Amino acid sequence: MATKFDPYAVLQALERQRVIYVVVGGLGRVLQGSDELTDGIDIVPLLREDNLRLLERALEDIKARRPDGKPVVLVQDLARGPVLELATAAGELKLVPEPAGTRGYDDLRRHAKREPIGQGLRPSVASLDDHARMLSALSREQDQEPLLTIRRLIELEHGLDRGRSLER
Amino acid sequence: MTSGTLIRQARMRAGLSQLALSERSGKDRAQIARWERDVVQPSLETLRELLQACGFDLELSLVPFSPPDPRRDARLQKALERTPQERLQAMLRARRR
Repeated sequence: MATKFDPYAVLQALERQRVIYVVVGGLGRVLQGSDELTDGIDIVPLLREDNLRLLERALEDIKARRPDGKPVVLVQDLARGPVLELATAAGELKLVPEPAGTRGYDDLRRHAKREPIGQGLRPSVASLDDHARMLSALSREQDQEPLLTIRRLIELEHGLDRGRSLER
Repeated sequence: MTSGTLIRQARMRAGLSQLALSERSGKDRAQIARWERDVVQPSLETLRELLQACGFDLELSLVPFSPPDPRRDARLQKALERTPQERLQAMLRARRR
């Protein structure tokens, strides 16, 4: 399995199948302005049956496998734990049905925005506030630095917004 | 996150107008507008009352604080001025280095 990280390939596969999801985690934070590096994609899929079928097809397209090398049996595998980690031909993909501190897709989609990232892709990305909420709820040592960055981005963005509204 | 953002977010999520929140909380509508715009800040107790009137509560916890770092702020500010596509491209370039 190739380990090259190609977020475009993963997101294109999801787009081709019209999977409904929100991007969270490191990539979501980078798209919102964080200066961290990441080598995987975390998504929160809509857990509706038809959407999971589409997601299963997208996973086949990118040759997703469980860490033990076995093929994915989506509904069963999602039920095994809070995060389903997969290796794909384009890098790591994590499926997180209900990230810490949230109630899953329906909760995150309200403040998520479609962000143009090139190659015709406009994935839905969780908001900065929701990213802060998820990192806070995890309370892990390794999340402290990204959390401080997200909080600072929120403050800076607020300053920017204020500046813009004054200019109008 | 400012108190104004929090009040506005709670009010919007509750589907309330400023007037409706004023009636529910017993606070002056114009004052709510000033709080939401961060022109003035409510006390912690008042903030909590407003959020509760929207059906939410305020959970406070102590979190690590890092003093502003001008160099880092400049980097983040630059990132905010970029498009999401440019941010992703920059990250992918940095990974390759």
